[in-house]
Amino acid sequence: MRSLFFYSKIYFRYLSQYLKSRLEYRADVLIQIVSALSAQIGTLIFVLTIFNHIPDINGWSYGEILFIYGFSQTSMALFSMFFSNLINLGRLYILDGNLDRVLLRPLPPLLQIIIERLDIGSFSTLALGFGALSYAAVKLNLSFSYHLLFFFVVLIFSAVLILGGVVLILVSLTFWVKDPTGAIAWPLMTIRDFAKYPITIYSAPLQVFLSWILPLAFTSFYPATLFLERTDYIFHVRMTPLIALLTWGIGLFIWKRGLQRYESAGS
Amino acid sequence: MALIEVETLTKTFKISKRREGLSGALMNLVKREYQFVQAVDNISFHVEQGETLGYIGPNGAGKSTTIKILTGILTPTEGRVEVNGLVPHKQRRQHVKNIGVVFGQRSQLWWDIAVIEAFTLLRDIYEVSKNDFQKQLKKFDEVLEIGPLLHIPVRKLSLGQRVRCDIAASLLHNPPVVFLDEPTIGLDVAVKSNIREFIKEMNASLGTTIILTTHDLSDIEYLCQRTLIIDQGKIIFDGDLEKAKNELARKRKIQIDLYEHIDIDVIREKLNIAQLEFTKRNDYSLTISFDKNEISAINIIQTILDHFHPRDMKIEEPTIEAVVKEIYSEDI
Ligand SMILES: Nc1ncnc2c1ncn2[C@@H]1O[C@H](COP(=O)(O)OP(=O)(O)OP(=O)(O)O)[C@@H](O)[C@H]1O
Ligand SMILES: [Mg+2]
Repeated sequence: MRSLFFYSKIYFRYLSQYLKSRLEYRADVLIQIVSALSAQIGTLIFVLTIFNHIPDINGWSYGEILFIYGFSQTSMALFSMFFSNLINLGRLYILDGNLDRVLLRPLPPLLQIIIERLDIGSFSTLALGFGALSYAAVKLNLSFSYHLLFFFVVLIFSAVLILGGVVLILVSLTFWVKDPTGAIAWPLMTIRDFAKYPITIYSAPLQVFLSWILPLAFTSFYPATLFLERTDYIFHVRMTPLIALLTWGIGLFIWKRGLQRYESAGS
Repeated sequence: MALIEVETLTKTFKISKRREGLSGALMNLVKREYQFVQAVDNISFHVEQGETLGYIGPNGAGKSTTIKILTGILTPTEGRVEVNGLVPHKQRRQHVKNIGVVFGQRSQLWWDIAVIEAFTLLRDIYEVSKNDFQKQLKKFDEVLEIGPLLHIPVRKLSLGQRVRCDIAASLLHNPPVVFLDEPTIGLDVAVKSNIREFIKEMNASLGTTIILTTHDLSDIEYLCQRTLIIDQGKIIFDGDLEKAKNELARKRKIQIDLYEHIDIDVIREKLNIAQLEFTKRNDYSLTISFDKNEISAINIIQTILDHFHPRDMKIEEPTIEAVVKEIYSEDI
């Protein structure tokens, strides 16, 4: 077992290489950040105006909705920051045979893929998401004890892991379903928008789907309720870290099984 | 126990058959038909420590597939593989620390970063000391002339430049076992001979075990005491090609230029041996083909000297290409 020190060193070495190679294209980086930022501001304005006119939806106040939204954006941004390359796993690595190169290095393959690229645009999502979260917390007069702060870190961490785990499960299926369009990960990309709002506004089947099939509600709504001092969902809050472990467990299992079916590419 | 052991190894690929045209593509959505390709078909061989093994065969014979199994990239469909006591696809991370791999067709380097950055990243991954790293770089620069390439991003290198960097990268950590899949692809004559020299030297001084696939048979002639020939997934030859050259390519040719006008019938009459084959090249030159196990070249030459006035004579040795061609055709 190699030391944590070794892996952190390698992580930062990859990271600095990546940033160096990206900074060669300054304009490109700038465009990426600006476009991500404007998209974020767009949705934020949408949320602010819509919910400003409706004092409460389904029993959720404007501040609460903003908090859930901010929580969702924060976990999504952290997911993009650390795991965005997982989405390329299917086409770029499994089907195009780039996994060869990864498998020939004495490092865990998933680790290499995760750290080979990161999504620079997600920094702006993170800033806005965290901004919305903090603004809502102040507006709602939420008290954050050290206790709650600790839970916050654990729950955000779990939410990020759930997103990563779900993506890992979906893209690992590429080993079986040879899908060159990357459409396997597509449902996640669309459905994840549902997770930005309180799930009680959706129909019952959709709620079940978002909780127990594609557990996106555990990346925003359920964990956020802990800080909104709502006690109805305490079971779900407790489940959040477990779901994170479960999705990664299943994801890693499918990935490992798939790896044995890896066929490389013809050349 | 041999360093590399391959027993009854088989790798089957399942390929979905594609129908032609748009309607065919739609049909494919509804019903897929599959085809199985035995890329590697029940092969066995051992490689001892310190051997340089040539691995050749026509396109699509299964060479790269074998290498991918030996390096742990692919899981075999059937059979047993062991390298240095490790099963590559099962103990992959342990295994790849001890090997160096070059795929001439496809770079192992990161596309976007400069060559030297890629090398230092590899240095950290393989935990090579700074001292050793500098020594290696110096050595590689002498042989592969990579000095001027170090600060160029990999994607901007020419094929030959990239292959040189790939070779250097694969050997940075001084691996005891090296797999080279078409390492001389795209290299110019000078660099190619440098690399051959270097591989030979590495094998001699460090005892590195090498498996080499190539379409350039002179690589094999220069480097490999033993060669495997694979065709359609099956091994059809395992041994010394130089010896095979002597045993298999029995057909020799003598080219004779005469001062006088050539009349084949006259020559045939004097050289009254049934198995000879005469081909007139022009009015003053002809080629005589014969089986060297049945007739000695001296007999033919003596007869010619006795009856004609030769200006020049040349005995053609069989080339290694001819030998390989003969092995392929025997297989069919
Ligand atoms: N990933 C793959 N999926 C399906 N079929 C494959 C795959 N890789 C190789 N094959 C098939 O397996 C056979 C052997 O291929 P391989 O790449 O091992 O040949 P090779 O001996 O290396 O040929 P070359 O000299 O052209 O490099 C070929 O028929 C090829 O089409
Ligand atoms: Mg090949």
